[in-house]
Amino acid sequence: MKRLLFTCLMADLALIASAQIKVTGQVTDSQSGKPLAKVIVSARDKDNKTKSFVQTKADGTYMLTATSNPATLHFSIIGYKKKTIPFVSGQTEYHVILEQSAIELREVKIKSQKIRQRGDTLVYSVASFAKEGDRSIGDVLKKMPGIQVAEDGKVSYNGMPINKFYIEGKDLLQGKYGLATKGVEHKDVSSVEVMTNHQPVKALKNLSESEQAAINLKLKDGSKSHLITTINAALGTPALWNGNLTAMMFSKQWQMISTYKTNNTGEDLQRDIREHIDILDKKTQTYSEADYLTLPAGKQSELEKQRTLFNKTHLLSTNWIFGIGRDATLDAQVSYLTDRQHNEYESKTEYYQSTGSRMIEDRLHSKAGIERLAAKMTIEVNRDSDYLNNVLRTDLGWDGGDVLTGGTYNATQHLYLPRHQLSNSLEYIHRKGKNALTVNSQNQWAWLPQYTAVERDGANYYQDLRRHSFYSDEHVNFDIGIGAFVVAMEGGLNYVDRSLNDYRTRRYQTYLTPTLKYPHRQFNFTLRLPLSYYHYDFGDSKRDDVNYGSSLGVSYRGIRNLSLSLTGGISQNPYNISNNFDGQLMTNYRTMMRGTTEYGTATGKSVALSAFYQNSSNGVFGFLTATRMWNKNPFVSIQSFDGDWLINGLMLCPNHSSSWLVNGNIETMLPFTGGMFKLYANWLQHDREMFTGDVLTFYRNNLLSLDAIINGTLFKKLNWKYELEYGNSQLRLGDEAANSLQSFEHSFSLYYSPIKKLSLSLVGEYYHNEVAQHQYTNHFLMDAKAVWKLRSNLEFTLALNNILNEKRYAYTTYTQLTSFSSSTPIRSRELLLSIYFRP
Amino acid sequence: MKAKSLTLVVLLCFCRICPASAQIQETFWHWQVIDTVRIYCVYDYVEYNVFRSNHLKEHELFCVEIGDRLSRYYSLKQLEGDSLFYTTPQAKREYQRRIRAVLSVKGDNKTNRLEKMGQIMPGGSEDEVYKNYPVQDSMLVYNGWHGRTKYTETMMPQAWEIHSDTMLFLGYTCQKATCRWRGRDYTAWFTEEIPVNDGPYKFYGLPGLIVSVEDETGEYSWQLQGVEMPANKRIYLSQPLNGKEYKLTDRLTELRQQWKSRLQMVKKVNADAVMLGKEPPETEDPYDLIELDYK
Repeated sequence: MKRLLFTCLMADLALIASAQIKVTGQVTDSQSGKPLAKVIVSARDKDNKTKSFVQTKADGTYMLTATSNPATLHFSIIGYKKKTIPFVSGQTEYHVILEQSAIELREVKIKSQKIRQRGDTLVYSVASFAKEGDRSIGDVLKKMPGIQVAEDGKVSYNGMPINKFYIEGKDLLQGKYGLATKGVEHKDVSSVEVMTNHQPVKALKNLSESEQAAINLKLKDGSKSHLITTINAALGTPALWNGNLTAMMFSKQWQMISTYKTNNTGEDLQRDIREHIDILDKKTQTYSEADYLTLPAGKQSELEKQRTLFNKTHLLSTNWIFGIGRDATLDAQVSYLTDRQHNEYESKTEYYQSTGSRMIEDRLHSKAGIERLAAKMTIEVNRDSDYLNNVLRTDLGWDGGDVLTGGTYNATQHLYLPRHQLSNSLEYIHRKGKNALTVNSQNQWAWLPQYTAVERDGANYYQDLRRHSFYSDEHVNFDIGIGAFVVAMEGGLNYVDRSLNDYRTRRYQTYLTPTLKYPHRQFNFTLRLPLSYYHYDFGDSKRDDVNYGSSLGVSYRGIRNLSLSLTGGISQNPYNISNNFDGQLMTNYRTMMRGTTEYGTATGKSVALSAFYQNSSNGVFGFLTATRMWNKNPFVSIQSFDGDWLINGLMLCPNHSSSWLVNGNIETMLPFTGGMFKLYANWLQHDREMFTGDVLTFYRNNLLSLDAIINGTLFKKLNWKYELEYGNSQLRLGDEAANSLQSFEHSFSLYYSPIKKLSLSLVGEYYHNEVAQHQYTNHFLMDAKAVWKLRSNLEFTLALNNILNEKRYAYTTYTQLTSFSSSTPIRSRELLLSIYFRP
Repeated sequence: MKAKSLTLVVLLCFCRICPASAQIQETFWHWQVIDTVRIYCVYDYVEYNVFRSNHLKEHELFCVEIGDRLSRYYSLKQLEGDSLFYTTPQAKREYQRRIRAVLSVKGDNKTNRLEKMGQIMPGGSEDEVYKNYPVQDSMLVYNGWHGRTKYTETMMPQAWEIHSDTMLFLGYTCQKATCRWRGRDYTAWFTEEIPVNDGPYKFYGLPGLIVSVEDETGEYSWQLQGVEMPANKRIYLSQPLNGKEYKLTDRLTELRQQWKSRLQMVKKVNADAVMLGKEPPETEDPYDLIELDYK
């Protein structure tokens, strides 16, 4: 028995002993003989999988324990050649000498994250999106998926216009952010933050949600707290110049952007100082005097404005913002713009009448002078419990022009269109717990001493259009949280006093708008019931009216990356007092506008559905909105001819109109091209009734536009972009078959940098427009540019525009009850040499 | 003779003017240099946002700088290496001034201050782990969760069990290992193609670089994004940006404090919601810390 136990014990011990293999040794360097520490010694099985390991100590020795006989022993350390030696059963000491070698580590380049999400904010890394040839931050914004920059400079995020443009958290430009998107260089910006659902007013935090996003430029530290100056100067033939001097300063307590720009190369500088901000959920009323007269600018065509604008512009703009204390800022801006434009274009307009259509041919030469001076001062205090914002502004304009026309009519027209406005708007919000009180006061004075004079076939006509108006709106809002609901009540007074020549109109309005908001889990319900009482004083007659409406909306944010909303409502639009006058106004050498003294308000019903998708980790963004509207209008537009004069008027005759508006877009990063793909689609259908002669005609306008852009980079040196724009304009009168016209635009751009200091770019645009049924015109425009970068802050550019010297651009489109064919001159071949310098 | 000395003077002047562009960045806000970077790894660290109701997974990039004697693990606050954030003395002064301004505001409570700090700082965690520092087998850990604290602990590798599963990750052949460490079960993958005994955070003890580590519950994970071998880069011992010093504490006290802070944050969010008339969104049970053995 004892023997059995002993044998078992011995066997067990032997088993244990054989299960534990101890291997020792020392590892030394082959050249110096010195011991190597931290060498990884691993025991591997026959499949070369590691079973156990140990590291050599400072003296190069190691003791490795393995549970079973390994197949090999493996020695490795950074900086030395790996060594594998077979394990010999019975041998327990292994001394190894390792040879030094160049580190054979295969690097895996750390991919930088282009877009990062931090809570509600998306952070775009500028360096990841900027491409060779980009200079301004606006150039790079266009390449960021989800961010759209329109031609006029307006920035939107996923289809919704942004509600604030900050630079380092400060709103320097107060809406005129075109100056920053064009003036701030991307090399000064480290990242662009998009703050979705941005509520800029601290006192409304968690109380009032916003659908809009805000953009904030985060600057690199090296670009802060010192003056940045950029100088651009260009000269060219025929007799061209373009100059730009910009100074910027972004420091903690204050910021400044000042610029002087001048050019006659077709660059529209009005875009720089255009105020883009519209706060979509702020339902404050505004009032603006109508434009009865307009300067005959070339009608909007698909061509970039730069190709058809003949100008001599000077712009001087200075913008400052100061931080006062912790929460207050003072912003002051002044800008002055003067422009001398000239243009000539030919057009054939076909007016569809019940008695047959009438064709009018216009050959216009026009000269316009634009002069604008604007100054604005904003004081803002933004605290958690209080918010105060006061904007005092003045906009003065002295526009005027002369038109010489041939064709169906021979006439000259002189226009004098000054427009002066002074306004102050004040907003104060006080927040306590879940309640908020808002007081809002807006006052505006406008003075427009305009007139026009026409000389036609020996006869002289003179039309005074002197306007002045005073507008005031005062209202108070209560926002009270009751349980899970937020009840808001807005009550206010609104007053307009305006006169057109000697015709005076006054409108008094009191309004009350209760709103009920119910956020429930991922849903958000809003119910609004606006109610207004109007009293009109038309001089010799008075009118009282009550308007009411209702709207219900629900938004849903339960699905990740997706936000949906559905709204529907009934509304009544107030009477448009600009149309109210007795008599006729001459608006140009062949058109008159007839006013009406009748009264009527339009009622509308609408339903809108929208979906927004954002996936920042993939860089995919998209949105789709569909709106359907039905309107019952009291007035119908009449277009009739009285001899040679076209009379546009309104007649009291109830009629219906309806429309569909669907638009969507999808944007995604394409890693294999190194760029992006964008697709925009827009479809509009408008059904209306209009009087032609004395018959009520039904007509339908359809407008479809598609825009697809794809861009990328080849071999790191070649950047390419291809864009296709397709448009289809359709007009259907009554029961007749529809007439449609198509237009295509293909454009490509190439940017190639063969050596570091030199870059070449080529842009081509091909227009294929249907100008009459099955009749097409073709235009091919090409520009080339060479840039020599002498230093990082000094560049020379040689540009040749419109290489093929295309002279005119022709297109046709349907509007209202007309078909409008036009041909405008294109800026001829131009050569420009410019210097860019940043001291 | 005159010509010679003149040439010498000219040469000396010339030397002054030419910047030594190949010079290693020694001045890094005057932080102490403790080693040279041999291998530079970047990990994508994913954790859940503290509040369970958010269901929000937050990503942050951390890097491990492996030197000859020690290694450093810290958060990459910048997005691109292009920022001049750390390199100019002016930038340093500017940041210190901003932080002092925020901290000196009276009557501001801690959560508000944290929020404001979040706006000034480029964002990112203040946590750092120095392995084999200040001496071999000693770990120095910095925390920024609530004030700046530090503690040291003896280095003890996780008790890894190496398995035979292999896979390909970023082109490296990797082998699987599992362990239970301080209350959580982890699955890690390591590659012997990079023969360094190191990994993210406090993980190490495998015969190759740890390329990924994940906790069984999915609450914490690190995944390697890239490995580079930079030239002329040093490992620095960081100092708090506001000019003050790290306060010495010990690991368990620190962990208990962090857990208390989380509970406080949950209480505040619930209180805020109640004030606005909503339901308190958070259960009094936020996501727990990585190391659970402090309880």
